[in-house]
Amino acid sequence: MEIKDELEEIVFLKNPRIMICEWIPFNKNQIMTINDDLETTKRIKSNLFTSRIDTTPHTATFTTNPVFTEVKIKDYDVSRFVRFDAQVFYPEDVVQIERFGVNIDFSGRVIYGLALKDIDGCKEVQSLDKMSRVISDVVLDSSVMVDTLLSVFQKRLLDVVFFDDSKERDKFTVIIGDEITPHFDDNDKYLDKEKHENELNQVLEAVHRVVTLSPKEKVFVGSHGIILVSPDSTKYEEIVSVAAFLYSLQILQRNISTRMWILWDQIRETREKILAVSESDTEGISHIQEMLSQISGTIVLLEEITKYMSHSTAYIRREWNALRKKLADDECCANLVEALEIDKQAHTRGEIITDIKMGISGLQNEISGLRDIAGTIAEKQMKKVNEALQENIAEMQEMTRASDRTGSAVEVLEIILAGSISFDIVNTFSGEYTNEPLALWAGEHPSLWFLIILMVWGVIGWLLYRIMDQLQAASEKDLRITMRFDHKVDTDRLKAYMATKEVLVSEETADANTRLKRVSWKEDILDHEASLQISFEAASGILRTFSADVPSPGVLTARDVKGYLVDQLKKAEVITEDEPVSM
Amino acid sequence: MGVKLTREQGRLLYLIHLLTRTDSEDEVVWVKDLPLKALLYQGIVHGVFDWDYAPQSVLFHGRRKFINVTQEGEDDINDLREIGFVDKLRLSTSEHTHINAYRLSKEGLEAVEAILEDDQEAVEELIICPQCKKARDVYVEATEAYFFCKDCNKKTPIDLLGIEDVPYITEPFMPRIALLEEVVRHGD
Repeated sequence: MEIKDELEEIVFLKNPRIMICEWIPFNKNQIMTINDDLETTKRIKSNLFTSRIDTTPHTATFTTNPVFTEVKIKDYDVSRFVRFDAQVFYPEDVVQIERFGVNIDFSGRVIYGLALKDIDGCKEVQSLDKMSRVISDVVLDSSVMVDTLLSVFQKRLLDVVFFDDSKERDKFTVIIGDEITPHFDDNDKYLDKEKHENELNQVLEAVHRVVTLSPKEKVFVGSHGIILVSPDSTKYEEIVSVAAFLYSLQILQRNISTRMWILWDQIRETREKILAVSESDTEGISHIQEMLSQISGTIVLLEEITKYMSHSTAYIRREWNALRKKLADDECCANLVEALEIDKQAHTRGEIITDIKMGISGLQNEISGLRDIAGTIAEKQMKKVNEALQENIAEMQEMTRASDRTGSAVEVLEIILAGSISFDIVNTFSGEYTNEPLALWAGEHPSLWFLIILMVWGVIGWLLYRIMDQLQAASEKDLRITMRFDHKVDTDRLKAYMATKEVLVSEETADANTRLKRVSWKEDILDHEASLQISFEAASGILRTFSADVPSPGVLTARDVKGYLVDQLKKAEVITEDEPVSM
Repeated sequence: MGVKLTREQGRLLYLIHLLTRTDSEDEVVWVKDLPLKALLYQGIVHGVFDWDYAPQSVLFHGRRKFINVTQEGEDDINDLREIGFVDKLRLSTSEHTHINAYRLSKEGLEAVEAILEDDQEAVEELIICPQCKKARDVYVEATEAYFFCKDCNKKTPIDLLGIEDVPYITEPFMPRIALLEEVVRHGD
């Protein structure tokens, strides 16, 4: 994309070098890991790196896009620092040969240094206008490059501070040039609130002051960067490196501070939700507890960063004390130290760390209080649920007893009904005792006649009992087998397996964290029709259950059905031979 | 008041006026900082403002983003505030951040009457829909900025986040660091 505007270039630097600086939580252990990753101790000290992850460890080859970084090790100490040259090969719209030196040390100071050899055809003298575009590009590309070297823990810490969008995190910029054009002896001319100041603000965000170090040397100090103009800048590099650390830490501390204020806002919202939640709203309190856990997790990580900051500032103080003795007699260096307010900065960074610790402690106390309130509400809800459960159990027991009573009554009725039927039958045969021979015989043998009636009664009762028994057996449930897996499977293979079925029902249940999909179809299991249902989490690929309903109990055994279901999944390669299954 | 505004300052004043004018006596309308930045950038691209712009890292919907910012435009807003033509309001957002908003002061409303017709037309062309000729709204969302014309139901993007690339060549540069030399020489 080309510049849409005609640039009015006003301020120029000769032979500019740019240092993009940031503070990332590091310790010696992590430096050791980076040295291992970069293979600094190997004979060939050059490698290509990519952020791509090998997700198919069993395959022989893989493909990648041409986005990678070439790293050449320059210097290292196994547990303290590594310095290397990096060249990034990222697709850009225009020709950019982006090579920079990288310093990473155990204090967390990360410096990406580059000397600008050419911008848009200009070789030696570059305008701040165009440099601002290079800086924005390097700020983004350096984040992508260093991400390939950071541990998951470090990335998580950065994501917490920069709201899960750490790629565009702000960094501190140091620009060093041999000369500045225009060169004014009167520094106020740079702070003219017009074109010169506007130009400087393009790279420094808000320029605060301009200080003359010597007749040909100046330093411009801004909120997000400094410009050092000196034909012999080497002697200032160590001071600038300390300043870069302190100002980078300042940027991170500002972002942490913003993060903490946002946490307070989130806590306020959570408190309002807790106070508004109804005692019967169990879903609401569970959501609140989830919010509290998330806030609490963020606070824990902020606390971790604070520990790293404390260690780092101790290291830098040591570096600064040694450096100050070394530079004590140089007036120009003293001017630079004063202009960059290094002593004040070092002191302030320590004070801010103490403030952050206090803030974190306040957040933790508040969270603890809210947890107590949420816990109390949850307990009340649990108590109510328990009471309701007890009531339900009592009601169910009463219903069972009533049902038992009804059952007994029905059985008595069955007996009475059978008796009534048998007497009716006997009456029919005897013609209401008017059918002469039978009535006469019954009158002559009343005991025998009564015994016959009882026998008829018994036969009819037995028949009724058998009919009721068969009706009850017919209303029994189907054979239902459910297998629980609860582990990740190959979703592509699962989808391929599902594609072979004629799905009758497909439903999806989603909540804040999961999306559970249930699919049902009909299929013959060993020549008997059955309904099969599979449930899995579509996003994570976790297979939950696989079940079968067989409407002919007694024909198939549970072992038959289970064996069939497992075979199906194994044949489709959804699960492997040794995966655990529970029923 | 006898204050002589530059052409750009006059147009900027008129732009803020167009965005915040209201007939209501009970309500006050303010224009937010980010949409105004988007309009200033669009104004530069379309030749309404003779300023420069450059990428700058700003808090954009609670996250750090590089957007095209005009320092001259920011400076002229400050100039207009300094002479009392523009009021600035600072307020919290539901995204837990703070933003700035602007409107014309009483003096600014008087001064806007004196803006030349050509300048007024140039600014109006910037925000008026080319099809229905009615004023468009400006929206700045988390990933894009755009004009929206309610009558035409049409979105027109503003490339506020589109940072232009320049071709360049760099060589590695490594500054001296005192701590590391110390460590190498003497250990911890």
